[in-house]
Formats: sequence, C-alpha cells, structure tokens
Amino acid sequence: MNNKLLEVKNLHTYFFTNKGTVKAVQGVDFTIEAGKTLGIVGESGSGKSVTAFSILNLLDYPGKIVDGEIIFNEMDLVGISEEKMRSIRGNDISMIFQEPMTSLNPVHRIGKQLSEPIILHQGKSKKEAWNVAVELLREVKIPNPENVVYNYPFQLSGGMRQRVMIAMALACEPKLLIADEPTTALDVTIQAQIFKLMNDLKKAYNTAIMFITHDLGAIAELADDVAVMYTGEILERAPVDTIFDRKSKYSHPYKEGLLKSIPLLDEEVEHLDQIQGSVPHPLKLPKGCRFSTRCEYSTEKCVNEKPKLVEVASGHLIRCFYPEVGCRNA
Amino acid sequence: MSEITEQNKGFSKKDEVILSPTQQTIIKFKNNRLAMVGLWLFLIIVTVVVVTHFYTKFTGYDFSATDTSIKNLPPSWEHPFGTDKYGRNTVVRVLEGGWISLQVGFLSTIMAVFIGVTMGSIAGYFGGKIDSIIMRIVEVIYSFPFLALAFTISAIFRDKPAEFRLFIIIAILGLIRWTGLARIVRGQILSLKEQDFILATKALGIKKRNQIMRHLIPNVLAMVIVSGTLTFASAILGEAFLSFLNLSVTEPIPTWGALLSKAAQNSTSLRNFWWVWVFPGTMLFMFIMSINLIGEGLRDAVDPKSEIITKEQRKAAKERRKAQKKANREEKIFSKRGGM
Repeated sequence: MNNKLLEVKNLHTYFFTNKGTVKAVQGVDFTIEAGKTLGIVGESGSGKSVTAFSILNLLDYPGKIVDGEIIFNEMDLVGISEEKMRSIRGNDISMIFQEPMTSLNPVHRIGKQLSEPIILHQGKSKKEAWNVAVELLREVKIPNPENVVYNYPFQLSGGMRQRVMIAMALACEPKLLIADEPTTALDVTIQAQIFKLMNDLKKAYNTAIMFITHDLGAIAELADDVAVMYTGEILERAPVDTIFDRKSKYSHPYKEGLLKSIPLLDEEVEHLDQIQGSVPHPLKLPKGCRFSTRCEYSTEKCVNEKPKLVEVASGHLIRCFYPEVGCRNA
Repeated sequence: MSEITEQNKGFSKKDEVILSPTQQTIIKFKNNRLAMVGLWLFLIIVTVVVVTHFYTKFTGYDFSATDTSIKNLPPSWEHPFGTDKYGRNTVVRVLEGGWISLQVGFLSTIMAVFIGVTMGSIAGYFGGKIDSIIMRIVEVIYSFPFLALAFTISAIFRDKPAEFRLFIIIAILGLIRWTGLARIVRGQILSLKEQDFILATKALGIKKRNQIMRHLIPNVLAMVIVSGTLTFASAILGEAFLSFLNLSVTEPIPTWGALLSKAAQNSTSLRNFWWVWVFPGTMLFMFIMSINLIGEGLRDAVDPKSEIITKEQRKAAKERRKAQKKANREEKIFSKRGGM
C-alpha cells in the first residue's frame, strides 16, 4: 500500500535505570494511513506515551530506542540526526499533551507562542505569523481571536488552552498529529467539543491522528483503527467496529475485561465486572503471556509460553493462545 | 447596538484590562511605600553623584589641590561637609566618591548576572555531567577567600594606573559574586524544564538555545532581578571594603571606602573631626539601604501571592483604626459613668 503515512515496525524502547532495564515498549508495530485515526488504549504504564515519544525521538536519558524502525513518509526516523528531527517536529509531526494547564509558557502572550513554530518552520515574518495565529485561533473556535492573542495563558480556561495547544500543533499543517490523552484533564462537555474539533480538522487538513487515551469512549468516537496495549505490547489490533463488537467471534480476554467494566445504557446490571489485580511491575514481568497473571482463562501454557500477535480474521490481530470466544477453559 | 446597561458595565471588551505580569509587578511595587522611598533615595543619590562627576570633570576640578589654611574645618555654609586635613572640601569628595561605587556596582553586577544566568541555565538545562562540572566550579569559587584573593590581585597590579585598577576590582567582584545567582537559576530551571511547556517546545522542534533563551530564562527573570539588586548592594559594599583597605582606586580619586579609611587612621581624627567620616559613612549607608529596600520591594512585587495594598486602602484602614479608637474611648467613658 502506498498511502501508509507512518509505519512502526518491531519498536523496542528501553529505559536503562539503576535498578535494571525497564522494557517499556517491546515489539510494537502498527501503521497509520493519511487522514485516518489510530487509537491506542491501555492502562497507565502500558507504554502508550513512550511509543509516542519514540516516534518524535523525544526520549530523555536513560530512555533509548533499542530496536525497530519508524518509517514516516518513506524515511526512517530511528537514528536520524537531531537537526533533521527538529525540522520534522512541529512541522510534519506535532503533538498535543495531556495537561493543557501547564503546556503553555506562562510568561508569553498566546500570539507569541503560536507564532513561534510558524516563524521557525515556515520562515514567515513576525507580523505574518501573528496574523496566521489569529486565523488558527478562529479555526479552533475560540471566540474573539483578535483579543485572545494578546492574552496570557493564565487568563484562559482549560478547554481554551487545549484549543490553543491544538492550534499550535496544527500551525504548520502537520501530516501526523499525536494526541497524548488530550482530554483527560477536561470535563465531558469540553471533551465532546474537542473531539468534534479534532474530527473536523482531520477532515479539513487530511491529517492522520495517533490518539492515545485510556478512555474507550473517546476511542469509539474518534478512531478508525484501535490498538490495545498492555505492558509494552500490543494485545489486540483491529478496526474500531470490530473492537467494540461484543458479539465478535474473536477477542482478547483483556479487552473483554475492559469492555465489561464500562456500564451500558440499555442494560441494567447489579455491579460492574472488573479485571482482577493490577499491571505487573515493569521490572518483574511474567514469563509467558503478560496478561496471564490477571487472566481468568489462564492455563499452564499461558504462564510458560509467550503468544504471538496472530491475524485471526482480516485486519484483526490478537496476541492470545485462545482468541476464539467460548473456546477457553473457564 | 452598543447599549450599555448597568449589568454589563465593566464586562464589555473595552473595559477588559489585560495586565501583563510585568505591569502587575510595577503596580505592586508602586504601592509598596518603603520600596518607593528606597527608589527615590536611590535615584536622588545617583543623580547627585552623576551630576557632581560631570560637573567636576567639565570644570576641571582638581581633587589633589590642597590648602593648609583651611584644614580640618567643621561643617559651615562655605564648606557644608567640612574640610579634611589637607584642606580639601569634603562635600565634593563625598559626592564624587559615589561615582566609583556606582561604576563598580553596575559593571560588576552586570558581569555577575550575565555569568551567573548563563552558567546556571546551562547547568540546569543539560544536567548530568555538565551540571556536575559547573556546580563543582561554583563550589570552588564559593569557597575562595575573597579578601585574600583581592589582596593578592591588588598587590600584583599595584603600579598600574587607577582606571586599570578599577577594572581589576570590577572583574574580581564580578567573577566571584556570580555563584549565588547561578545556584538560584539552576534550581529554578531544574524544576521548570520538567514542565509540560518545555516538552511542548521540544515537540515543536524549537532549538535548545531558544528553549533556554526564550522559554526558560524569561521564567526566572523575576528572581534574577531581585537577586541582581542585592548583588549590586553587596558589590558596592565590597568595593567600599576594598577601598577601606587601600586596595581599590588610589588617591587623589576619592571613594567612600577610602574617605572612611582616612578618618579611621587614628583615633584623634575619629573623635575630633567627626565630619570627615560621618558624611561618607552616611552616604554609603543610605545608598546600600536604598538598594536593599528596592530589592525587598521587588521581591514582594514579583511574588504572585503577595497582596497589593493601595493608597486608598491604607487610608481607609487608618480611618477605621481611628474610628475604632474613638469608639473604644467613648465606651470606656461610658462604662466608667455606668459604674459610678
């Protein structure tokens, strides 16, 4: 296929700490096509953010990409020079962060911060960039953009700041937008507005989005494809409809657990199911299947052997020995 | 269209005042009475000193001219600050003495701030080995005995002209006083660089140099200004100290420290000719105090948690206190009467 914008192959990112090597990402692969959204879900510590940082090469010491390829626009981003990477960051790939409250520099006016990447990557003059900034703010539906550019971040609300962050990320019309839990810190009504905004902008600019979250609702709303991550591995990857299809023939027990823990509007339940236990310590990962310690279907084989990511149906990949629903030893 | 009702008065676009942090700081500073006193005192002293310097320069006033007929005269209308033992007019010497202090203070502070901020931000931003190396250098310089160093360097350049020695003094003070600032800046940047907005600048592909210069340093600038003010005061005090030990600029150019040391040479002049040391001492004291007051005021002004007490509020508080007192007094009288 030719319209693959980003292809991550066998990515391994490790953190070399004093206590041992934390294998934060182990053999993740996925592709994102232009104009499509890939949703990455997982619990805290499943390696979602580290994957995103690996793509932008923003890992700080002691983190390092050990193995794998990140092919963006037919160019391998692993081992690329810092100079070249900098011209890609904010220009071709940009990122939105979790905390809109602290993602803006408190001492600069909004307009100045917005125009900085425009001046840097597009070589526009200060005045031109300022005008572009006003237009960008208008585009992310901020009322009175002519005035807001003169404001300081502390004068804006959380939702407005996140819009400013989105405007900043879109300033250079990137091909790929990485959104690292962009709505976690916002309340639901603002979340809905931000989702709508991101969907509109995706259509307008044909931007691919890599959407990282632990909110399955957000994934259902935005994503075209979904990857479920757990302790640095992808457990299941499929189109969004397949993932949320409760009657699907194949499914990963972990994802089933996640779905069961969400209340349904049309069903009355006494209490919600939950996945037992918690994510294993990154330095003490289980030998076999990573999920075997918490899986209700776990067998001898699961504990001792590691399953591979297998394509069970077209476009539907599962990392489990027993992907078929109903064929497990419960 | 533009109908202004009682409700939306003060909420329309025109009424909205956007105060930048700098403007807020200025307002807070202006409402700090003590700091404003310090600022005026500072400005007056600086103006007088600068005017005197250029006046003496252009009129060719001879600082080495002596007149034994008028030696050791107490203050009078003719010689407001009295005369010294060579019959020189102290008033001009005291006012001119500040010129050296000002030069030393400004230049060495600029030098210390520049080095301190550069070193501190580099150490804080890059961390790791670079941080360790810079902080070890800071510790080494921090533990230098200032006086011994000043003695040695001054002794080496004893024969050089006064201007050259002045620059040596500035360099010594500047090169020694930057360590405190470097530590403050490093500490601040260490915590700031972990903030999301620095991660955001990285994700936007902004150069490291610009991350430091445009995003980190403006965030620590308030601290730098406060600390720089106090460095300025200590530099002037340091210069006076060196002059007192005859290690700074030599005769006939007057400095406050040197004027003090002249008076302190023997107890007779200390006891009998008080005007010789009181005036330079007072000038030095007032100048240092004014700078410290400004520094203290700035520290309060840049602190976002400090409150502004405006003139009107202060007046209102005074009125309230007065009324309270009056009420108390009346109550007392009333209770006395009631008791009787």
